[in-house]
Amino acid sequence: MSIANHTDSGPIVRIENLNKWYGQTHVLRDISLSVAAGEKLVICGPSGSGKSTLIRCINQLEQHQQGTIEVLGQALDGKRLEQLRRQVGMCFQSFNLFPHLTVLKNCTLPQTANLGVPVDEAIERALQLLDKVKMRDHANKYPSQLSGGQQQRIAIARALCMQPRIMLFDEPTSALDPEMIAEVLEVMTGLAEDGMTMICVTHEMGFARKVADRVVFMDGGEIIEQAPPSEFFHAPQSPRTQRFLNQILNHGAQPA
Amino acid sequence: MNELTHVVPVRLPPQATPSVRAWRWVRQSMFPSVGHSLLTLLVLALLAWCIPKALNWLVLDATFVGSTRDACNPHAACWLPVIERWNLFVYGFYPEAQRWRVNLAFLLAVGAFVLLFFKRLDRRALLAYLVMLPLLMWWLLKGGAGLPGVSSTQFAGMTVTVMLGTIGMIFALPLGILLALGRRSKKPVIRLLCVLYIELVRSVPVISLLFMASLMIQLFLPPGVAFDILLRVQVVLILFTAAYMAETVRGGLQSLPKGQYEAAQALGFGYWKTMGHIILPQVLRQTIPPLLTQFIGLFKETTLVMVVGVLDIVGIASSTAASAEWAGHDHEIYIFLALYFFIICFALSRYARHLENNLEHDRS
Repeated sequence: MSIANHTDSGPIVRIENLNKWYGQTHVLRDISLSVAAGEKLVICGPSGSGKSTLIRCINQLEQHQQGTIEVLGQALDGKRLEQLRRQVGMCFQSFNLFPHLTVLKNCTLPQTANLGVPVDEAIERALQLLDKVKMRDHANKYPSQLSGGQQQRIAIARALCMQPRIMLFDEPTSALDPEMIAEVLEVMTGLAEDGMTMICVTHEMGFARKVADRVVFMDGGEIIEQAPPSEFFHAPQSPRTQRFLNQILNHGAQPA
Repeated sequence: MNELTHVVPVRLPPQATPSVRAWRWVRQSMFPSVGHSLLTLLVLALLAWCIPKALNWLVLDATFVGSTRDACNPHAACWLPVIERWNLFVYGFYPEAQRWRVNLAFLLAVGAFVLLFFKRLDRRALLAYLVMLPLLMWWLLKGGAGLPGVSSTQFAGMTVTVMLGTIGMIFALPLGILLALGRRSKKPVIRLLCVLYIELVRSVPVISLLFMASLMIQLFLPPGVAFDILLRVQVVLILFTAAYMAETVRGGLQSLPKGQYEAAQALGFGYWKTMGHIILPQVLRQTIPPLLTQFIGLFKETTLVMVVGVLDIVGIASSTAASAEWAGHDHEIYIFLALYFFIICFALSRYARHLENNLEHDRS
């Protein structure tokens, strides 16, 4: 199934001179970043480096104070947010499935309520995508009956049901037990192979090596370095990147 | 993913025989120490002394049959004032031929709770019922559109209590939800208005609001225009309860994880869709028990309408106790009154408890 069949040739996301403050704290400093259609970007960096804030700005869960963000060729100006968000899928660290709805309803409600898709069509699409993340058998369960890894895979299917042009992942495996990380990464890898444009904030360096077209390293609200994974892991330029890689690779992150 | 299924044989905890368990319970809960044992004996003695006496006075020697005060046993309770005036207690001065309307309204009100009991009921059907209920009740009781009208002065007794309570609850809840949402609104004007309203109403006793409704509203209306007194107290009770409910609902809104709002936003839900589909269904399920507690409060507060001249069941009781016919039997009348409120409020609180258990069960 090819999800990314774009017609416009420009970048999916273009960020220029982005600045953001929380009160007096400067959390994003002069960020410029561009993501082409079909590109897979991994953003890494120490905690508090602003990487989650950055991707949350892309679907405007956070508002920025300076600079421009263009998504699908449209500059974000705080208007028509719902239309934007329907084309930008997002997965959270804490899954955020709706606990009062079944798995299937979690996947169909956004379609019927926000895209106006007829119910049977929505169900069909939901089941197809649940099948893709190997959760079809659990369609009638409630989220609380499932493990974290299963919930995250459903969250991915739910986001895909909206047929987004780009997927944002905000540390999707950080809240998971080690044995469940693999199943979620497997789904994400499959998605990448289908050609989906992806921006992932993650500490999974094995995933970055295998899937990413480009790895972005952030620290202190700035982009320190960005490079294809082969370069990034073998010849990091900045001393800060080197220190970070040393720390994270020596602490059990499995090599790909 | 993991196919490991290791079968472990079932082992049950050791069980004591019932007699051993009973003995253990008595020892643990009644005689765990010398001090406790003395207290237990004291309480048992007290109960042994007063229960037979109370039983004799309340039931065994009491008078249930007769029609005038001469039939009463002077040394025990006389329930004749309640029995003889039963219809007055229930229907007030409602025209006798029309009493079926009151019965039907009672039945409809009870029906709402019966329906809420079924978890798997279609939400829309339930909602439609709850929306129709107050309108139907008002129409049935007050008349109009085919039914002969009944004047508000003929309303008294349980009819008033149940009507004010049920209609009040159903209108107060949506208003309370709107106020709660308004209080958390990002728009400063809406937020300010809601905060002002909620804080103002919560810091004024309901009795003064009722006085305001009965005395002051008339001042603002052009002469000749009369606003039905029953409608006025009903509106006051709704506005008052809504302010409290708003705070309960706000608590529920705040306790919901922020991720729920974010996930809804990220999926393109707008404000009202987020609230209607995602947030309120979760919040209301959580807040059903405290909301029912507020209903119990509202139910008891309806008795305050007496001060503005609406004769609810307490009004009937006091006028019965003061009547020449039944003077001197106020004990029995007020015991009956207490029992009436106890039964309804206790049933409601058990019901709230049941819903709470159900919800806990759902979440595990």
